[in-house]
Amino acid sequence: MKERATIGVKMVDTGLPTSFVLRVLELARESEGIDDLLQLWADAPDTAERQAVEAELGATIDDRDGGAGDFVIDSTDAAGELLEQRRRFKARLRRLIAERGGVSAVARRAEMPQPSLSRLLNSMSEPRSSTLHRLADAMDLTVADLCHEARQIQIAPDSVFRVQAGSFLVAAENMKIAITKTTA
Amino acid sequence: MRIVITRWGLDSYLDLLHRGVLDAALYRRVLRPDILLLRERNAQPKFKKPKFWGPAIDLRGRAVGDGWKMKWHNFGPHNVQLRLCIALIEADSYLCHAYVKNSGSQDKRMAASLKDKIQLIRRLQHDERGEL
Repeated sequence: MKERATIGVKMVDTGLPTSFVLRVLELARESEGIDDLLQLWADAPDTAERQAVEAELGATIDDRDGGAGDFVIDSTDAAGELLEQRRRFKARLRRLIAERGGVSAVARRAEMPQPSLSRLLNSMSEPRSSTLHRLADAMDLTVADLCHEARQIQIAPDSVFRVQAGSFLVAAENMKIAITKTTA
Repeated sequence: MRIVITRWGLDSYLDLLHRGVLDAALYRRVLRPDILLLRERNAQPKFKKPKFWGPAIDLRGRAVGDGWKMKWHNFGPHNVQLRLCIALIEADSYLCHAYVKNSGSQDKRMAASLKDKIQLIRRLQHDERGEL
């Protein structure tokens, strides 16, 4: 097993953002799973494998730093509709990123590994609020700009927030919304 | 006992749908009934078959504590090797993430990720999206 610090230096040398590497090293001290990922990165036989580990490490950081749905709320429990919503959101995000220099450029500005951003764009995973904020900052946008569709929010007669059909995300700056099931 | 759908589990499911690995009908016909067997796993003979159920193994060749895998072989229209990582914590089962197995190194990566998720679940730092 290689020393964490040695791996960290090598990670920075390969161009990974220093802030990302420092956070990984910090978390590896308390998480055996993240430490294992660090070792797998060091032993990766090729770039593809290394990038796969980097994406995984990015996800583990998001799990801790991401904020548990305080800004991002799925509007429906129905998987089919949810999938369509996420597809639309990812397509929009891909377009915005392409307009602002592409994945590598935006990832660099957002100080996140490029494989993490690629995975976010190509998978149907739920983006965390911290990631949205970081991306928005890197693109000189607001989180609400990224979550354009989510602006359609209405207050139902029973005073429960509900999300109109077709919307995906609710971006509510400085505000936490307790959402109950959207069974309008 | 609860069978908990974590945020990671829901993301995996949507990803598999998106990539055409499965559809809702296949999920209902094959995956869901197998997953529901978790409620009676001590009495279920399927859980004695290593081809269906076994511990997640980390990069050192050790079993991940509380980490398990449910396996389907030649699954779906693309005949893939599908894996579902599950954390068994106290009486509850947490559906953590699913993936199409394509290499041994991916298995190790997924085991490391499961190990980390188990730690988060134990600390109640995970998100739940529902129950089966």
